[in-house]
Amino acid sequence: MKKILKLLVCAAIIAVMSLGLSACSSDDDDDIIHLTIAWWGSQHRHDITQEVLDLFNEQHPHIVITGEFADGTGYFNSLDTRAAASDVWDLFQLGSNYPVYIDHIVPLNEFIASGIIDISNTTQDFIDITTTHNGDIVGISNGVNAWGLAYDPAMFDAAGVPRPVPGWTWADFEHAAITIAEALGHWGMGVFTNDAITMTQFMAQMDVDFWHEDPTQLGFDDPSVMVPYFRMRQNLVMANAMPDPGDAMGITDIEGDPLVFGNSAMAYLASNQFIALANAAQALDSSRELAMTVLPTHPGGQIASDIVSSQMFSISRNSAHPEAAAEFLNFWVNNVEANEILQGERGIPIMEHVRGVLRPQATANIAETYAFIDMLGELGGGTANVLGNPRQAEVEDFLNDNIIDRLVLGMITPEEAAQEVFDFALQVVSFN
Amino acid sequence: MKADKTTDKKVQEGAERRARFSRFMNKDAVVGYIFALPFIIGFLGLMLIPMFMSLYYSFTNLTLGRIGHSWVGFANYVRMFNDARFWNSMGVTFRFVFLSVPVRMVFGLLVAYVLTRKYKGVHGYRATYYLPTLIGGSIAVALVWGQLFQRGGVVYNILEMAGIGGVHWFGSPVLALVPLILMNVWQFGAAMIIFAAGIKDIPETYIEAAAIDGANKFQIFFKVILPCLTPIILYNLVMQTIAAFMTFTQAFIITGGGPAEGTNFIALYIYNHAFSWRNMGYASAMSWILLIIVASVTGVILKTSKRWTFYTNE
Repeated sequence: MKKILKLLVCAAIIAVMSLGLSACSSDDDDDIIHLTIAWWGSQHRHDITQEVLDLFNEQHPHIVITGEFADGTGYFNSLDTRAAASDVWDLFQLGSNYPVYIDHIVPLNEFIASGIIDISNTTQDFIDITTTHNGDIVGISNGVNAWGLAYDPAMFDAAGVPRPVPGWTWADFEHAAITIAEALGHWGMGVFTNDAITMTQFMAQMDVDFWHEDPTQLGFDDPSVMVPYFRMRQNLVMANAMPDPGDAMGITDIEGDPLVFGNSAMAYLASNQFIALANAAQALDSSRELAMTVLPTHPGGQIASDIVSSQMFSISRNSAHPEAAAEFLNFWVNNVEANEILQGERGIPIMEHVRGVLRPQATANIAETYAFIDMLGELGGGTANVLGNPRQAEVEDFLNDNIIDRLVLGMITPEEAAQEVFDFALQVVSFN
Repeated sequence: MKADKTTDKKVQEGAERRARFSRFMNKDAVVGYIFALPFIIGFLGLMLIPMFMSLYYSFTNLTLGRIGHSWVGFANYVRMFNDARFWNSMGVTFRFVFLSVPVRMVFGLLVAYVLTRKYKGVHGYRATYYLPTLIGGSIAVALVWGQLFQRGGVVYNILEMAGIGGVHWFGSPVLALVPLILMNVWQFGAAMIIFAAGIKDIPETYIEAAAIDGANKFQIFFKVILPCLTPIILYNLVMQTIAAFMTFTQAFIITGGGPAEGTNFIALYIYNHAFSWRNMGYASAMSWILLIIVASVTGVILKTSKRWTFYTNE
């Protein structure tokens, strides 16, 4: 018994001491600021981001920044838990879903005004893509990208279909996919990873927004605007030009896209994903040459797609050192050495001087993404801050996992699909 | 001298205090509580308190990622009645339970019966058949299972070679349930072990008596072994039913609930509401409804069990 008591006492003493020690350490090193930062992504991204953190620590002895990383799902689970406890990392990565976390974000306006974050090397357009309609700058974009299509020119030629040119229409796209499927015996098009994104763009080209600035409303009031999209989607699967739900289930990441294995002629992706896709395809067959093109549009419709922020780092409200965090942000977007490590892996950098250094270093596949963004710019594609909604994920899931499946399996008509999506979305946003 | 006396007194007091403390620590109740403490802390911290918090949250609009929440009364429970996806998930879950539990039990019972016969290497067989249960709940097995049944997977190809034609399991909301049920049945090990213990417990004399009276193997199995096993069957039925209602991994990993929500089990739907769409309040309300449903089904099984269970000591 005595021994156990002694052990317990020892354990208690150790616990108290370690508490005391940690308290001491923060007292003593008053001048050293500790920051935490977190992101999601691939192993390659973790490695290069960690290198940049080390570089920053080296150059800023008064700040110690430590990184935490996970895959996408794990990251958001962890972020949600931390957000519930108001214990978010000082700096955290966010994409277009930032409205969900808007309560936890410190706007950067004051740091930009005071000169901690230098934005003199970029344009107002690039700042606006991460700015809310209240004028709050919620982050500085880590890089820009745009949605587009990757395709295999050789397959288009083999099937006798003209290669896509800027300005091609959705009808051209549908025809190409079905013709290739008939001629080559495999899919013409892979998957739209998220039909909600594709359909939102399809609608935006007709000047219709799916979401509204007011989170309790939708941007449109006539479900029939969705019908042409659903009809095309149904036709493509029923003609075996696109994977059905069962086959689509097996396609989970860009390196596993059927285009990589030569089982489809086109893939839908964000421009920064092209690098991984093309590298994966060439690893299997070095003779493959893939290209990128803009999304189809409607005859005489709006330009294909807008240039958007791929992601950003935001500063959390519970951060004890927002200024030091802002100092890191400045380093992250402006430091040339750091960006030479990153090589635009998160998207094409928005800072002119950084682009100037990186562009000549680009490999063929990276150069294709620069050319793609340039092409969009020449076509007059603007930059845009995509509208979102805090309950977007729920509507997207309903669209992707319920409506699209039933539609392409022939269980509902395009008209019924449009009506169901509209009713569901309207009900869900009413909970905001 | 005086100083010595006080020290003596102090020493005495100290010894007395220690003795009191050691008497206290050696009380049966205290020892019991100390040994049970790790469990009590876990039970309170990980079960009871979170349970009651979720009951409270089910009456709020708690949203993960958002600061603060407010009381919404029964709104979450009312929402469930108009939620077509919730009812679909309930339907899918019930279909899964009613199809997978009986098949799994029959399988477990038959294998247990065979493996309680006395022949060489029976222990090795028993361990081997238990293996799927040990690794069954893991993500890796679910991934492999998905690959087996995918178009171009082993099962697909075997069916095609057999001339039946490849079945595109995950291409239809009805067929997609089949691989998941088979995976569940394949993990019959836990039920099998309990059945095996039950079969071994049946007095040898019953079986000998039946054999002497001229009963064949089938008659012995159906007229002697099965009735004697009914209490074990009841236990397995209840446990397996509860486990089947909570099935999550297979659907989460293999099908993601698809296609067309044909495998969107209620546990997966609750998970998505809680963590993917952050509607913690609504998810808590659904969890409580699920608890009530599982409890009622278990209650019905226990109520009817009096009519079909047979206890040898009665």
